[in-house]
Amino acid sequence: MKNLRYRQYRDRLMEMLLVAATIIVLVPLLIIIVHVVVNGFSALNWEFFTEELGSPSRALQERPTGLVHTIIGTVVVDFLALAIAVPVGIGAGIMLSEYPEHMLNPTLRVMNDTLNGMPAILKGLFAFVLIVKPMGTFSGISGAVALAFVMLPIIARTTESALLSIPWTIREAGLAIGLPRWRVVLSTVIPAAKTGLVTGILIAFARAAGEAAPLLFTSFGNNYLPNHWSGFILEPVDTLPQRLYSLAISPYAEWHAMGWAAAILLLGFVILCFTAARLATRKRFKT
Amino acid sequence: MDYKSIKKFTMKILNSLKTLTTGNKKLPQTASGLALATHPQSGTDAASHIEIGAGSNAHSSVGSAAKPARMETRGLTVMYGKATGVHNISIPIHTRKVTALIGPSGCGKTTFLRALNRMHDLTRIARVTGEVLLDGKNIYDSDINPVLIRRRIGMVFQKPTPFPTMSIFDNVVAGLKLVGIRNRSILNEACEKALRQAALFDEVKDRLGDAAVSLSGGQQQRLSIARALAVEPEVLLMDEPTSSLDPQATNRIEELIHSLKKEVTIVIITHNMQQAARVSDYTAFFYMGKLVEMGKTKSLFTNPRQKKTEEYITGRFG
Ligand SMILES: Nc1ncnc2c1ncn2[C@@H]1O[C@H](COP(=O)(O)OP(=O)(O)O)[C@@H](O)[C@H]1O
Ligand SMILES: [Mg+2]
Repeated sequence: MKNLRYRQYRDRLMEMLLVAATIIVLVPLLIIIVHVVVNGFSALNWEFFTEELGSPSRALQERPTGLVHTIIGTVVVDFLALAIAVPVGIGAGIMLSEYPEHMLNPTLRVMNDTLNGMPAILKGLFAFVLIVKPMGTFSGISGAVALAFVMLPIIARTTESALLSIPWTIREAGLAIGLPRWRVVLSTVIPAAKTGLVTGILIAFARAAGEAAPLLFTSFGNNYLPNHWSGFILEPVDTLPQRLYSLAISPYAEWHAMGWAAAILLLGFVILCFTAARLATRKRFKT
Repeated sequence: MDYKSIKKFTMKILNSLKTLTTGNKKLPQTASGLALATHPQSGTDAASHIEIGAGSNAHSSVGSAAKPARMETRGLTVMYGKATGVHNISIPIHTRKVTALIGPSGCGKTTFLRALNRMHDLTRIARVTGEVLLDGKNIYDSDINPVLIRRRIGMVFQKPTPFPTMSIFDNVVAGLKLVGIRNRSILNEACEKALRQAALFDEVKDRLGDAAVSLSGGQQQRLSIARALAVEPEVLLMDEPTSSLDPQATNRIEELIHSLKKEVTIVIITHNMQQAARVSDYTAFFYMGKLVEMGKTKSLFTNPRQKKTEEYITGRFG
């Protein structure tokens, strides 16, 4: 009897510890979200989405100012990065999962893990040397390349595990009817792993969208809209994480408020990506 | 860098490229090998490839009807690293007959069967030596494209393996469609023929667009067989095709094997001695990676020459 009581007590205690752990995880997140929303909400007006930032005097003199160039810049740079990282990352993931016997496979695995563990700022430095130096200017494309290096190893790894979750027998069945290997991968394995692939891409995207470090000396930042749309690719471009950083370290209270508003956007963007990723995986269990 | 090391390096790269496209591990270290690597469909392979890919009239002429393939193995050995899968197997595979492979678990039946259509190419540690002759030509020769070999030597696995995202129809014609046959009426015809051969047509004819995974296990296995038959292989390898099926589905597949052997050479692994006796013309008994004996099924079961065989078929071990 005493033993049973003791075990029930211990069970209860365990449960409480777990609940406490959950709260410890959730509370800071909630505090951050509430704090960001409370501080930034006032700056989220119509102009915030339609005007460019300009010089600090605009904000100080209460002339219209906003982050439209930052929002467009973020979308351009992030999607350019995605366009670079998805084909390469999926290709690497296919190599990792589908050609385990290939002599380049172990090398690729080590390189991918190294890239994954490498600090993001080094990826920025790399893109600086690779693109900014030869081009002679900071640019959206160099920022995209830096972010692509953030996305790449994540996409490669998630692609690998998504493909590995498809039974190996499917591939052998494909080969046994005389399909070449690449055909088997493209027509049977990848379609079956589609939701996993999409999830991986979204996670990589959300992760890269929040990075400021690789952008500091690549896309650099810009207070104005470019004169021509190509300026988003070939000239210095503003992006949300890096703009958030610049606004935060500026000496102007007005800009601090805009920084909080930028944080709301960034958070919303990232949460949207992760929610989409969750929904995409949920579907897999239904079928 | 001297010429030799440059050549070696080039071979290495070409080798890796070829592995990517065909799953072919080996490539000859010769000048002609270079030519083959850059034009994998040269020589005799090109002929059979065109035959398969050319469409309407070619399609119906491919296959076993005209000239059945003769197959045999000579000193076939498969090693998994240092462990032996099968050792020194030399047997004929009789044309348009059913050959059953029997023996206790782990004796190397699957290993042997997979060597017959180069499935081991994908297993890194597996190494195949000896010969598998198809019409007198070793399928492990360096100028052979394993993809084309697998087109002539199909395989059905222990568990059904429908392509999960494809419809029943697309599953059956996958082997044709994915090499470029797009003509709808040819595909329809091939699909119906293969499904009829696999005794599945009547059950699925009104739902060819449904997902293949919606079929029952037995139906999925017959679908796998239909898919293998659709590319009109000359030889069909079956690895315990009925082991996951109920007696009724098993029965249907045995009937199917019986009618198929008019056109196709069949090699079947079975755990079930009655099944071997019912469906096969020849039986090979494997034990511990070696062939103990092979002969006409009837004489092997009624009058085994080896003591081990007798012990196994009378159920004293296994
Ligand atoms: N991929 C593999 N790697 C290493 N050893 C293997 C592999 N496949 C089979 N083997 C070994 O080879 C032997 C023969 O196996 P297998 O051909 O599957 O036998 P069977 O089909 O007759 O049951 C067994 O000892 C098994 O452990
Ligand atoms: Mg087996």
